[in-house]
Amino acid sequence: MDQFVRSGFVLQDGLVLSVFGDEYLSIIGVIDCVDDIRIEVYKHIPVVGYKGKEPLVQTESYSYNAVLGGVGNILRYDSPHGDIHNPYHHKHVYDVLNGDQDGETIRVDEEGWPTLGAMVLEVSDWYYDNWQTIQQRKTSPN
Amino acid sequence: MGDSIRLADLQVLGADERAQILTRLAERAAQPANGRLDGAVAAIRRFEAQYEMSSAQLSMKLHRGEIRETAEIAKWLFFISVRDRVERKARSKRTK
Repeated sequence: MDQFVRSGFVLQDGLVLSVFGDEYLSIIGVIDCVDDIRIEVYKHIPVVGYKGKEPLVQTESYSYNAVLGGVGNILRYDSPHGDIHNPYHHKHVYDVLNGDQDGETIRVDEEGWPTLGAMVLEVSDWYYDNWQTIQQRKTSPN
Repeated sequence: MGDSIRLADLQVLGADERAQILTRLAERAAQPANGRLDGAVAAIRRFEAQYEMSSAQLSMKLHRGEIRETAEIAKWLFFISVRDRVERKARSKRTK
């Protein structure tokens, strides 16, 4: 996250690491980024072991949702939702700058689901790729 | 130190202090979830009240394409997943 703060993309990291219990930790919060982009993070993380005294953790359930404030969702990665609906890692992609509210759901394989850092990088890349359009929307929102 | 820390605050600590805090949090995580699991269940109940349907009905409607998986719905599904995994783990501990 430090690299994104240094680059100026992330304005404030509001994530909080908490004890959940029953061998779980959680990370929940919002990362505030430039131009009213925010990334909402929900992570549930079991402690799976120790390397010496150092705890080893593995993200189990997660939802990382990037929103362009006042416009809509940019993209979201979710962990499997159970047995009958999207029971695999998946990504929702929205053509947000063209009013897309429904998005497209793309399955992500077991090796392909991102770290939070990779997600922030993807949102950052999207922002800079669409910077001009975003600035134009700000000056003439209709 | 309580049971939580902002990641931004953790980031600025030295490596040793960061490791100590993470170890302490992980050790505390071994305790029963109790109130925090209640928090996840309460979040599920709030969504069920807001959408006027049970979580089971949500699953069927999503499966049939009658409702979209919005960001709000995804949060609901996250808390269901948290509840189910923790309860499953607790059940498997009891049967050992």
